[in-house]
Amino acid sequence: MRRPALSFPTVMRRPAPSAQSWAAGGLGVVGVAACLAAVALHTATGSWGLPSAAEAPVDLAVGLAYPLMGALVVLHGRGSRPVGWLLLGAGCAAALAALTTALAMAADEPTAAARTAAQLSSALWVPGFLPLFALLPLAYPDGLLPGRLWRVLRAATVAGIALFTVGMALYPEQVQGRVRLDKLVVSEPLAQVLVTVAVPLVLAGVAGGLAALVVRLRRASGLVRRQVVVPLVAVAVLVLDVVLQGVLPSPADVLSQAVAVALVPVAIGIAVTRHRLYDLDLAVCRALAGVSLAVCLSGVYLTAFGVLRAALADRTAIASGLAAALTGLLVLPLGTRLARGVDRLFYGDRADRYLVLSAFSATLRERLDVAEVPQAVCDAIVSSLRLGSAELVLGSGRRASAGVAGGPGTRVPLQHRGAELGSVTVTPRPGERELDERDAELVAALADSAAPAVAALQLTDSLQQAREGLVAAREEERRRVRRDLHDGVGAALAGVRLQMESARDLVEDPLAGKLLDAASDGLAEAVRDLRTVTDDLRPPALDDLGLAASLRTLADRLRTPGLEVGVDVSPLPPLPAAVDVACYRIAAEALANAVRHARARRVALCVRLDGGELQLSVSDDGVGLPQERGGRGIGLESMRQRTEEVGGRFEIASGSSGTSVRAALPVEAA
Amino acid sequence: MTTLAPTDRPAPTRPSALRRTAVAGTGVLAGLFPTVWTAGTVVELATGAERDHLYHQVTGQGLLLGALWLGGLLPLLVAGWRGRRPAPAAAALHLAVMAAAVVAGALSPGNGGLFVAAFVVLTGALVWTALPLRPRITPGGLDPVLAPLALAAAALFVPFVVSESALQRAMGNKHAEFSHYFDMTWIGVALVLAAVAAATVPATRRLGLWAMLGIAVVGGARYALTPETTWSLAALALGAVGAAVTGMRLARRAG
Repeated sequence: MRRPALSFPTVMRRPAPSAQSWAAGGLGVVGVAACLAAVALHTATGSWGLPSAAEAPVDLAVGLAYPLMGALVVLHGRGSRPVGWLLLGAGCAAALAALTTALAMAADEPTAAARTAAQLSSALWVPGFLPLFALLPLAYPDGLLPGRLWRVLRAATVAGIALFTVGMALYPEQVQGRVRLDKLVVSEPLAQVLVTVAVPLVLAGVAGGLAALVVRLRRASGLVRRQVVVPLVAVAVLVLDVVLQGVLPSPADVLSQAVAVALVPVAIGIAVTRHRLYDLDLAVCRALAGVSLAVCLSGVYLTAFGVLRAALADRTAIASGLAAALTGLLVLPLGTRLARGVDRLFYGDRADRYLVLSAFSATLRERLDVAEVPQAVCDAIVSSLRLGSAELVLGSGRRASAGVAGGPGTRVPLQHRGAELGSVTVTPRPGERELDERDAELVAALADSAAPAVAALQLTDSLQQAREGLVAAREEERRRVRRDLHDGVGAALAGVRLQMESARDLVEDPLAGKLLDAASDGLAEAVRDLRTVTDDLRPPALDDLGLAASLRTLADRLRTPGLEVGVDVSPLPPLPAAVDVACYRIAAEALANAVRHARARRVALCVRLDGGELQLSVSDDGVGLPQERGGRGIGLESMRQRTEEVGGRFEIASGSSGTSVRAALPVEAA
Repeated sequence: MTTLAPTDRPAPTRPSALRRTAVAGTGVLAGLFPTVWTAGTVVELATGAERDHLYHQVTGQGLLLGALWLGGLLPLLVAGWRGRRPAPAAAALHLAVMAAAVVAGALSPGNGGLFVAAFVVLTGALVWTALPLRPRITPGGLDPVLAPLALAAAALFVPFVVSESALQRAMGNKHAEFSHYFDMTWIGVALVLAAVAAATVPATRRLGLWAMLGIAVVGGARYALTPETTWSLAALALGAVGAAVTGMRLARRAG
């Protein structure tokens, strides 16, 4: 019978790149290119140590990290583009600030172009830096403001940043590179007015940004909360670093600021990868594989080149060629293995279907107890595919689960020879909205692999139920037969014997007397045999005293001056005959073991009814089970079988400090 | 459900007296040098003796070498004594230290280098022979984070190893007379091999943390105690970042 088709959301074809996508990609490239050009210019002109280049590391950190993350978010994120554009805008502004600074410092003459570059460099850092404090926290993580009133704050912040930018542009200052450059347009009074107006607005924006994150944190829960916490920490570190700028010595101040600003996109990256923000999994997965391969190939090349150059006595060209050839040979195998590794990092062993199925088969092979198969299925799904949770429910009501459910479940039927045995319900990985088609296919394959074992389990369950029924009926029948024999036949025989003894007293004929004596002895023998038979059917104390008193009597018989036997038996209602007998026999066996083998000084017997189960425990402070025999030969197997016959659970724990035997016997099912 | 405890794992077989004697004997022999050297370094550091050699006391001929060498050897001996199979990470670290000694001995055989390499390999091989159960080191999936870190470390340490071994061969100063450059070559190669093992053998991933911390120690000590800055800062940065990343991944895996 064919498996019913699983229903999955329709996979949408990716639309052609839009103008927005092109713009985002272009801005990302522009930002990175501007930074690389600035680095090259500073290095070529040797201007890194000049005062005007002091802030270059910060601009470069923002200019490199933010456009890349911004482009990634705009190109692949859903419903998060405002954050992406903000990152792109700030990053590009910072990159252009770095480039214009480098251009101004590299100029040989104070040309108009060089002075324009100087003017831009003094202003562009503002939109490259301040939005990180004020606007980004307002928009993170979904691009929406926390409420309508926050629009006012956003507008004020944008105005403040714009005024501050213009003010800094007009402020009269020089750029010191190869030559000293003045700006083209300056106005100190106007600059002071603009900056004076802008500063309170920007400060309000910074405070509002932090407040917005705190508000989101208080409102959010679960995944969203985790998405907010990481960038909140990064922004707090950045603010703290800005506050400490006057205290830190140079160049620690600039370097710490560069690291602090780079922490923000790193934090967003962590939120993306660990908390599945923006649905960027695939893009991040590919990017990580690409970066990993690039670093590996660079490492291989540099290592091989270094070794070969030393081995070939500095024949650089040959060493370089051989190293390149070796690196080229490793591109494909390294790329394949790294891609597989990244896939495993994100999705477990999903990519290697054979590995998952063979590992699961090995688990089934090694687990001898068929009852553990449902749990093995759930464990395999959660551990090998890293899915959120898996729950297996069989038709018999048996359940097993693993992981923590955190999303909509997808049900996969478990079928064997055309019959549905049950189902597995799986939830996607934390942060994922729905189960991927490849995950569902692999779960279905695992379910197919497990189905025969699950069918065997159901058969075993049926057999066990039949066995429990037989044992219960047998014990009830024994109780009835014993009662009939004891109260009926036994009493009748005893009465006849009494009559015969009375008749013997009345008879004077010696021959008749002998015959009556013989008959009376025969009756006495028959009564003894009958008692033996009835005692073998059931422990007589159970019917004479009841289970609780029988157990107390049992304990009394074992108590000696060197052995204290404690008994704690709660009041018990009438129990099924099979449970009565099983409990009594197990307690007797466990107590006998404690006395004979454990060399115990204290033994505790406890029996109580708890939740439809009769809980029996026998604990001692003896030497524990002999390891070399593994408990064989001292009745453990018999106790286990008696427990299983009534559908119960049996556990034994043994160590140097004693042994504890526990049996839980179902009262209602028996 | 039925459980008979203890049933989850078979108890290790107690090794025979002869086996234990062999493990202890080879252990004493193999552990002689690293123990004496490390103890001597600790005394020097505590008393402030030989301050000119502080960099090497912390790294090559001292604490770091002792940690790498004994860090692999001691778990092997403990496992052998108890009759257990040694952990793959400890075994891989011990193999890395032995292989690195061979490389260092080949690059600078003079001034006792060859003897030290031979001693390390022979005594190490005796320990492995005496073990009742061999470690299982099975290469598996390439780790996409540890692999670039390991290869970056290799690229960083190749020029370092080449220059240190050249200085050792030249025998131009007191450090060379004390075989300090040999030791730096040795730990440099050992750290890289440990990182490569961590990247390629799933059961030895935690070695990546050892390797990255070791690289950070070398970089930090070289930056603080020698005039060299560029390579030192690069090693310090790689080691610190690598240790942080590896530590986070190990913590995440451990749950």
